[in-house]
Amino acid sequence: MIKNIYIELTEKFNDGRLRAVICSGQAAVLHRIAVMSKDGDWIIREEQESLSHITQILEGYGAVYRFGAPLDIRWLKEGWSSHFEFMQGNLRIRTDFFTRPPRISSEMLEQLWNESEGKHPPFINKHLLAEMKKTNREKDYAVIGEIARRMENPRDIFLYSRSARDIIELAGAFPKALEEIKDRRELLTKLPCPTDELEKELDAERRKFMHANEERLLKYSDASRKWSEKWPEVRSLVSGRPLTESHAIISKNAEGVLPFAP
Amino acid sequence: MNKMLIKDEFLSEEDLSLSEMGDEELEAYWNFWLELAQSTNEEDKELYSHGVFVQYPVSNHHERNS
Repeated sequence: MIKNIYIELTEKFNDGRLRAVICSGQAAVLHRIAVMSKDGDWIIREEQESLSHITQILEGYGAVYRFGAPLDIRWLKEGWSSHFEFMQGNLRIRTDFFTRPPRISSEMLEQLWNESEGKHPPFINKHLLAEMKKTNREKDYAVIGEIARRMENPRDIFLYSRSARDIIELAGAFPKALEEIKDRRELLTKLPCPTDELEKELDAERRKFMHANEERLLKYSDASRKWSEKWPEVRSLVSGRPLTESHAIISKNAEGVLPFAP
Repeated sequence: MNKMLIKDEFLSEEDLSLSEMGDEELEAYWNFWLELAQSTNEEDKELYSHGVFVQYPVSNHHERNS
């Protein structure tokens, strides 16, 4: 198996049972698509045993909280994310966690947990990776483009492709698949059309996804304003403490300041 | 150039070669990349790459730098 801090952490998070699945940038590496992220991200089980276990593992690495939501179901179930950091030698390791990643339905999450059982390491499939990459960053759409190229089912390629040329070529080869899938992606309803028209649709779609993510982040930013003002005080309270102690202090201080729902 | 031969390109040659790497080679490249990427730690110390937080709170910059 590949030896890497993120694999090592995943193995420890999942000691005894499946609690955490690698997602985002390091999943892109494991799909052999790109190496472009320094941080580790995991979708984790929304249950206390998993959160407590993960906190214990991070404590063993000397991890500290970064500004963010407590690793606590009350916040995580409303889409908040929790962030930690530690040094391993000269490597700065950041670990980010969520139980409800954006654009992933509960059915997709259930499927993720089922298909991840027994995998070493478990990491999200191409569909989920493509959905999670619909962020407000331009570079993520290049990754979606490459993910789509690696998909095998024409229906999946129709849903995620970022190439007008590829889509038009596929439409010629798989008209039935296009007919079955076109209602799930607006720009597919424009076919048949010239390449440059589809390119404009792709650009507009990308902008729409980016704006949607920006609006989502703005909602959380507004909701965390008071917490951000309180953070220096909270940070000084937990300075030098083991993570499990810090967690209890941070959670207590976040109550009533960082809303559970943004 | 023949237009039919043009394909949309998303990622670099280095990224695309990952698919041809065996586990050992990927491990070496991945860990090497993480080492090199540490050079930007100072620049991105306030930033978040994923999740719902984008940047360390501006009002806390003084506290972070002290």
